[in-house]
Amino acid sequence: MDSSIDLSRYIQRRHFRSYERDMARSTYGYGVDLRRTRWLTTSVVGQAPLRALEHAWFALADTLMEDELRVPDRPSDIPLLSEVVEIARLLRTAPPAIRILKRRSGGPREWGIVTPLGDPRSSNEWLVLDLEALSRLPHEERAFLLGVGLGHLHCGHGALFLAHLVGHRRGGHRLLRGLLRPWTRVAAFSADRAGLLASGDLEACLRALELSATLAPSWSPQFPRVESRRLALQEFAVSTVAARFRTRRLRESHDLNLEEDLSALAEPPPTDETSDETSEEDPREDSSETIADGADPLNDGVPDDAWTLTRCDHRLTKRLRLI
Amino acid sequence: MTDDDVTTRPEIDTAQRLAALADELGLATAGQAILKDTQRRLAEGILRVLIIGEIKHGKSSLINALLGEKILPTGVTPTTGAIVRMRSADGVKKRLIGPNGSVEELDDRRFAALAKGKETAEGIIEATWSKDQLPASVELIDTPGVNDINRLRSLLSRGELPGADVLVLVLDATQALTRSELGFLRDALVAVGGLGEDSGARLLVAINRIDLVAEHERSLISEHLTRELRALLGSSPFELFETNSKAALRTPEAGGHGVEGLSQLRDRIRELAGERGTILPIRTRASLRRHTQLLTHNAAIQARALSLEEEALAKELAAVRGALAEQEVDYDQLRARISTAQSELLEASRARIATYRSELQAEVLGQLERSDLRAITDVLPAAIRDATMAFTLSEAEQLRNELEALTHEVLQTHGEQARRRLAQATILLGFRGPLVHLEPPSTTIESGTLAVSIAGTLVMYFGNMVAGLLMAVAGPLATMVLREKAIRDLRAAAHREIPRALVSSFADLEAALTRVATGQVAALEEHLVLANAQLGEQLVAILDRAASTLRTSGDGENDSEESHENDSDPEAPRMHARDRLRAIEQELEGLHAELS
Repeated sequence: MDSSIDLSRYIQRRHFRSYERDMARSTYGYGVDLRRTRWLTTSVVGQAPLRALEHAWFALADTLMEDELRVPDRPSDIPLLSEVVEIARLLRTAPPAIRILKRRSGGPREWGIVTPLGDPRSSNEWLVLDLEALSRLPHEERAFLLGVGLGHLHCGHGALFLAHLVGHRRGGHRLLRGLLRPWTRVAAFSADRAGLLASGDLEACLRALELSATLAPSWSPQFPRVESRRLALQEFAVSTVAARFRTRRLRESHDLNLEEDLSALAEPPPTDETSDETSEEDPREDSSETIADGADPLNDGVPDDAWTLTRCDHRLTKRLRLI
Repeated sequence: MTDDDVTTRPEIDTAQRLAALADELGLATAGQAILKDTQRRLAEGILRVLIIGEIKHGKSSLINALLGEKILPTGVTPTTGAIVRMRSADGVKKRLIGPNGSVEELDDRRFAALAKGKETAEGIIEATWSKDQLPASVELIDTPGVNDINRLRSLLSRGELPGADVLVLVLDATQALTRSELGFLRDALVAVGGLGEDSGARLLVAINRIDLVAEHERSLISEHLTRELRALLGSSPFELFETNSKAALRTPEAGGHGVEGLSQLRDRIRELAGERGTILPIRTRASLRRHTQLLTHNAAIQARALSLEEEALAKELAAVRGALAEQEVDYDQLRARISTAQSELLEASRARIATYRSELQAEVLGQLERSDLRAITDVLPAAIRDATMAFTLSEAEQLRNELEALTHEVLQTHGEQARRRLAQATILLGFRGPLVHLEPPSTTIESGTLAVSIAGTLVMYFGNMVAGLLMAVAGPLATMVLREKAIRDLRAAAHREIPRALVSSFADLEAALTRVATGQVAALEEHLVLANAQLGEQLVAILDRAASTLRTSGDGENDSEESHENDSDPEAPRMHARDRLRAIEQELEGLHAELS
């Protein structure tokens, strides 16, 4: 190769991430049948409505950037961006593009405090932030909402929000939203966990959960009731995975440094090659077993992105009777 | 301004907080200067008029003429070799005020020797005037020429700049505004915080010896000066006065253009003294802002020093002592070196960016030919972004090294500012998202052909077998052909879109890095100007404080309360000091915001 740039290396990483996400979708678990979601994203016929959604998104994105959103380009945006970098590093997820809400008019809320958006291919993901509302929140509550947003994008839920937003703004896509409903039913749980891990304070998370549900815009996907999500969070807060994350968070809190964290912007998250392996065992029982590939050995075998893994979710969904 | 008013002023509180922070950083002298400066402006209500200019342009003569009495020595050789403070009193008195406040009366011979710099003494040389040409609320400061061959004298003049409220730049009408005068004026503006409304500082320009210029050329000189100064100052206000100091002092009653000009200058100073109730609080805030900035620079240097090993810091401390504390600094040379280095490193960075962009473009366009539809639309844009961000981070790292090397060359040490500035610029670039948007091909035709296939199958079953078969086969065939066409269209779109997107994105990167380099160099120059003669002394104090913390870390000693929890950790004092520095920097940022 004449050039010193090895672009294929970056392509390979992205391919791998895309593959991993497809696998995660098909084995999303919770006992909920998400084969339909996978069919939507992979089959020729299924791709048609998603591609139609993506075309609509291209047109809508331009309008949004003109009227409602802006790119973060001000020094005053930096503290919040630093928080996003820190949380992304903690969750081992890739920071998305950030869009900041321009000053809000007095009308009904068109945006949540944190809104994840992404095309079905996950090649263009946005986290839309209401800077004013976020800056009024205590740090732990803000961290929860940012963690939830990043969690949604990490799991590829951006398309769920997109389908609802595009439907609200431009009409149509009713069939697609219907097809995505089973996915919508379970999507909030993984994202909420990401929020809890980012925040580290259950009480603050529950407060922020209430707030985000209250301030959710009318077009937002219909997630499960707050009571279910609250129960799920309380369950997860006492799990081994959450405990290990809290330990890691404490250990890393001294090392958190914006300059060092910036490398996260260029590097896709380390992948856990075992994420598609389903385990029926209770994580409280299996936590001392063999260390998974890609897991942090200092983390007692809990992979860095364990919060999305099927084995954790399975137990939860059984308890919540989501099946 | 009464004492009661003064003590309740928020600026006094801010000055005290700043002085305490300076003390904590190891800069007790700087802290005292902050308090004294604030006290002079707010409690005493004295407007400080600084007379500046190159040697032999008649600064001392101008002061004598303004006061209407010959108090300062003048002559054909450079006569001012020290800072002389002049205030109003009952009679003409010349004295030396010692550092402890002691007052020594000076006879004319000793005063002249001290003012000319032939003799040296610790303290302030002060002369008082008796006539009422200028009000008692004005303090005049006579300074040595800024281009004095003796660099120490030149440093003295620069050192007085931050304390000035009104700058009177004395130019010689026969050689108006040299390059070094412009350079000095630029420093002066940095030192006083500019001439805007938020600074409160005023610039009065005296074109002295105007009598030596033919009458018809005077307007040309004024026009030339206005043009040059406007180029430097932009929209900031300044005022020109054509003066003849000698005639104004010897034969004021004879009148004339230069005498009249001097009288106008005096009137203007009187006017400004009348407005001091408005000017001084603004100047106090501007001055406190400058002190805040200087302390922030020093805190960043101490923070970085705390990350060094003890031995490396000792080496650096020795280098600072050798280069700055014990030698004279040639500011002109330093400025020239900084300016050259800035241009060189920016040019090199631009060249690297251009090379990378063209290589990446070639690589991406090559990859386009090898990729399928999904790879082009799903993966390629994200991979381009990853590659660009990786380059951005590596380029930022390279620029950081170069900027730190430049700062090190000037100060023999450096702080963490370059790293922080680059981190902030990079984070803003990093969150913009994908550079390239490749719209996937439309699904309408594909859906149509699929519909034809389905219809064909139905016809085959329920109608004409041959027609149905043809329809069922034609559908997928048409889909294949259309998909090929879609890939070709997509590649063509990518060929159009990608070079444009790369040009725009790398232009953003170049602009961001240029901003960082310019900001860093401006901060370095600001540090030089604000610290001035105290630069070496302050750096030594800052590094000394850091070295003492490191020694404590090394010895495992720590008296702080937190240390009891971390007795086993020898790094605890260092970590504690770094945390405290971070808190100090945040407090300084807060104070700066309050003052802005």
